[in-house]
Amino acid sequence: MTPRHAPRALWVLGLLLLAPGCLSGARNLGAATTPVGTTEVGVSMNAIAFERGRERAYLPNPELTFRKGAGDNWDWGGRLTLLGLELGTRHRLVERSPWTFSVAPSAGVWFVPVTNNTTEPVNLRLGAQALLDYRINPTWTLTGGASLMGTFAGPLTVFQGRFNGSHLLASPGASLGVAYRLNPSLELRAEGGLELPLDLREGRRQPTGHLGLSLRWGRASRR
Amino acid sequence: MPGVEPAARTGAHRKHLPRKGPLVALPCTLLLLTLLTGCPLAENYADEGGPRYSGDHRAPGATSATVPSSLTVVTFNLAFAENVTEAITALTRPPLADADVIVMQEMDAPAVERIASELGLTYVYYPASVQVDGGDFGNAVLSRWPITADWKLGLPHDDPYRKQHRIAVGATVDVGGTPVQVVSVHNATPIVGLGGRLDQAETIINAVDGREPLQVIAGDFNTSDPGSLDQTVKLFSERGYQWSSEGVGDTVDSVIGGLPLDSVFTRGLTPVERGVDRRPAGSDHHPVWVRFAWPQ
Repeated sequence: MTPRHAPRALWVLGLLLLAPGCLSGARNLGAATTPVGTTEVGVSMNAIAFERGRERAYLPNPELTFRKGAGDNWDWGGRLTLLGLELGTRHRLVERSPWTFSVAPSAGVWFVPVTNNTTEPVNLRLGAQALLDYRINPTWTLTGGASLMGTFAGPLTVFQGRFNGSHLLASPGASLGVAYRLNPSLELRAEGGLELPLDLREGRRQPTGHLGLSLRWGRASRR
Repeated sequence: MPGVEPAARTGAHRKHLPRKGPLVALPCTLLLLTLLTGCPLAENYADEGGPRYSGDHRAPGATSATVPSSLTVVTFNLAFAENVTEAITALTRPPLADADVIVMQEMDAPAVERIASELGLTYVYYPASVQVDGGDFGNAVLSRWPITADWKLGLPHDDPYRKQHRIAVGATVDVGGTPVQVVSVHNATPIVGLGGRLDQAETIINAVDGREPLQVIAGDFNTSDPGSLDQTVKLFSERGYQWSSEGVGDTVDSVIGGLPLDSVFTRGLTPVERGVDRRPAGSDHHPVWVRFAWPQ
């Protein structure tokens, strides 16, 4: 690397570290809830697409995920990125083989220091995702998802009680995933999705998209 | 039972110690919030017309009756106007000496007045905000030719941390009877996203659209992040401007290396020579200069 390339490399590294966060709508979830007594941990590598300047940009966005079975038909868990955390539950509402339908409400807090047309690093998200699984066979499962997230996005000065420059967003989204069970405790999932943020005062914003792979490992606790 | 008391106390003490998690987490959270929001809010000059400073230190009748063979424009961000003496030294040696127009950023009124006085220039200066140290922070246009009109333009997208407002300062410079619209630009740093900074550049372009056919928009565009210079150049090109400082290279030395922050865009002028004076000039920015052929 030449000295001339160093600043660019540092900038790219900084963007990789700082830009992802609420930009990603990737949840990499299926509708099947985690069994009681089982904890699943996973690692995801998503590619996110977003508006940068007046062009589209793409970045990798690593995430850690976990789910813990809490009841016969529900679990809880979350995902952790470099600058954000989202927690939520997942409730299985319908189980009629080969179909499973669940709803997963979640809440998250994200810090997005580099923004684009607006400057709002503090992001609080609250919403839910509906998930529909179709089990093709014991190893392959298709998942369709539809989500609606509400976001409060504001500058850091919100901590000083100054809300000038804050925005409320509603973001409908959709995703499509496919999961492959490598063995009874290991699942590989690929997912792609799109979110269409709508500023409640200023109208539509540029859509964001994601495409990712997630490897999830489940472990039943000993009793 | 004094004999057993110490052991019992130790065990009991250990057993009843409060959990440390919340005790640690709360101060850490408060410290984090303090660090994140600790910067005081900027004091901005919200007045659309001021405050305004101007002065004319040109020798009587020096240039107004002549027609130049070329026009030299310099843009220079003088880093909080701290090292004025070094800046004057730089501006009085070739290739910056005898520049026709100098646009400056991060200036305060005394610094602009002193530079104009020592170089024999006329000037207009508008501060955008007040620095933490109490000094003003704004843009100036200095000229060897008469300034016949000037204006201050507020830019959109204040920075999210200090709410610091940015401005552009425009001046109509009468070069031998031909008006040239000159704008001194200081866009936000990359803490405002690239889209926001492009909005700032577009606001300036819209403001000068339809004015004099000869236009110079120059200054610190804060194009340090990858792709930002390309998109800024593309925006100006789409609006009919030429990137007259193209190829001059990095204009700032920083801890992460050289960065191409300063540019000169023009309409109706043909650049014939350009460069960056990388000798010490009292700033982390280097002065960028472009010499234009004067349209006959």
